[in-house]
Amino acid sequence: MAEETKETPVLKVVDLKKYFPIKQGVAQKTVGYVKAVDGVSFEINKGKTYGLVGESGCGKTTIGRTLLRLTPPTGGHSFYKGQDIFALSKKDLRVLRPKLQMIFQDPYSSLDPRMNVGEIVGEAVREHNIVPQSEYKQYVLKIMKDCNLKSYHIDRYPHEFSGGQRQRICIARALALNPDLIVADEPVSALDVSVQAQVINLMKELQDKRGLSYLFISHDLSVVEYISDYVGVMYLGSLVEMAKKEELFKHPLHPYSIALLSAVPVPNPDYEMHRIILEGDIPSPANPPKGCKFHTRCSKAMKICSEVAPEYRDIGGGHMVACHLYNEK
Amino acid sequence: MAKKTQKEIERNAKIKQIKKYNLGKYKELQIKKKRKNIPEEEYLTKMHNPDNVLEIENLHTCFYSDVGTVRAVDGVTFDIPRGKTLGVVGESGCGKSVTSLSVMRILQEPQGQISQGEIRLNVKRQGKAFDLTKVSQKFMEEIRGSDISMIFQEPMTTLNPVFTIGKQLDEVYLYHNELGISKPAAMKKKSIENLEKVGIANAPRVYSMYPHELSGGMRQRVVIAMALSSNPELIIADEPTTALDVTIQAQILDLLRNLKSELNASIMLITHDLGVVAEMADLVVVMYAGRIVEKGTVRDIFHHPAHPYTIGLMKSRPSAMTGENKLFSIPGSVPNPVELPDHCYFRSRCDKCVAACAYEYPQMTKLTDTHYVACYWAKENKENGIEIEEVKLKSDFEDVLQAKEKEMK
Repeated sequence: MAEETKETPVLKVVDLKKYFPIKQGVAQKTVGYVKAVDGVSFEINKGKTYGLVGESGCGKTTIGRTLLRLTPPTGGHSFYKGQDIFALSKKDLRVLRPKLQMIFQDPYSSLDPRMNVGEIVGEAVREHNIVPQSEYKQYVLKIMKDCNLKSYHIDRYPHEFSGGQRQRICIARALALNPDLIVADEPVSALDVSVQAQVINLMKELQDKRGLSYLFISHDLSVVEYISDYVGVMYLGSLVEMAKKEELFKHPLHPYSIALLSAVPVPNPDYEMHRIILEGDIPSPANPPKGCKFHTRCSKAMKICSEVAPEYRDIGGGHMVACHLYNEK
Repeated sequence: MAKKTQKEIERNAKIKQIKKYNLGKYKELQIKKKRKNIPEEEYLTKMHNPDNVLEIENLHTCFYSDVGTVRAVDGVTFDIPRGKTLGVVGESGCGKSVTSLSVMRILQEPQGQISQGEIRLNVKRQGKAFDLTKVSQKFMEEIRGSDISMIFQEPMTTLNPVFTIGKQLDEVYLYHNELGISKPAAMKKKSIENLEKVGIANAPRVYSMYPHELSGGMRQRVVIAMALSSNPELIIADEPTTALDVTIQAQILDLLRNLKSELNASIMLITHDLGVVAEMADLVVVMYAGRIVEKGTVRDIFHHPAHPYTIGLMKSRPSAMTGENKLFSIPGSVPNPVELPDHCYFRSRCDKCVAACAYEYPQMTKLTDTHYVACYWAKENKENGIEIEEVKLKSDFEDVLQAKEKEMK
């Protein structure tokens, strides 16, 4: 990424940490921490998509929420065009909010059932004075048209729409504020395959038109592969591998990434399975294993893995990996 | 309160009318269903092919709702041979789950009713075949859980949070005396064996745990153990891995495959993931808006898909290696189930329409001995001898994984 560092990235996350305290007893004494996100760093450039993959419970969603300061962070920094989001006052943060938007996973529960589409899309536009009062309705209709919603939908309520349409309303709501970055938290997981394609196409189209950046969080590798420019693989609160999409999917290095890739079902009945099946479940983030967090399920675990945590480092060409297997190279 | 507009009054009158009609229907069907002591001759049937475990013929399941009758399953016909896996594919709302609920007779009552059709189950234990649409509720209770068992989508909601895993597993033997295990100690032993069978380490401890203490993958294993405890002839798995992660999904699919060959049971696998179907199924049924649009063996469906909907489904899978910038997406959405058109339901979304599509709903056309399709376009292709272009569905990761394998060796 050497040639791209000249440009200020839209979002730069440095050593992000989020611990949730475990409280016990009558006095609610803190007895430990769930390290949901433990030292994650990455950056997203303008017009690019950063895909974040991992199993459920690995902290993907917490990253999305924390870097927008929807939940207070425990440590680290999150820079929007060089401005530290975590250091801002409430007032300044409010000014910045329209630039950073989020799309949630479940389009059924993230829309207020008592507001019609016009209000849902327009509410924040009015709050933030994006356009003058006189152009307000015109603006909402334009945004809806951009998101392939019909103008007569403006008076309808969320329950009258299908899942795919609802997700488009969510996208319209985020888009109405003219953001630079959209954090999309599993935006297509709740949708059917054919509808999934419609939503992904829309997201790509809007990106080309408006130069949006996405942080695309998903557990579906084929979707992430399709939409992302860079992909980060997460395991138990930390990134274990990060590279350009082509590089990561063609030459995955970390045993966890390889196992993830091999777990994806292949839509070809003649394909012979040689699957690397990970044994057991993801360990508890309250009590992560010592050394490399993945060593309990890794097929290539060595002696050093259970003692020393591997360093997350560049092994050439911007391909970052945290694994002892690639130490000497 | 505001005065009602003319429109509202009209709508209310219409709803009232529908409700009245529905009540009549409920009464008629519920009385039929609640009959006790039905003589065996009435529901005893013969399988068309004795190798089949389940034969569904012309099944119609309707929901009598306040806005009108929803024909959720509209004339579905398929067979499940012994020891084979049948995959049912389709979008949500296409009637795949309702088909399985009809087989189990656990539809939401009184709205959901089987209005027509036959479901023939071959019960090996008794050496007889029964029509499940005609049997009494009491008899159905015997069949349910012992000859057919079901795995549901959400392992979090399937298990009862206030009972231990062991208690819920033992229940199967408690209610099914015909399985011949009645002593508590024997039940416990058998349940622990079942837990071990599905790959749960430390089964005796899990036996006394509560569902919330287990992870999603473990819970799904427990549900599978429950489904297996009676050695069923048929396992219905309704989206068994949709709520799970890819890595856990791989574990569960692997487990199901191994168990199937071990028990020689048949599986009816309901899913919308084409990858899972390709991997697990021997036969595939594609459903759209309550009807079967295409059925055949896995190779028929994946290598020679004939229906435009099947082709569309396969093309809309995201894959970066195809080199195309835009994903193929089927335009429009599923028609309203209350007012289905007279012509092919897929017509408004189809890009391959021919003249005949404007009329009657297409009949099933035989393409090969195993491959059937309900489409005029496919029929014309067949008559004119046109081979439909094969959709290339090679996984992006296939090459990568093969290369990695070699490296490892």
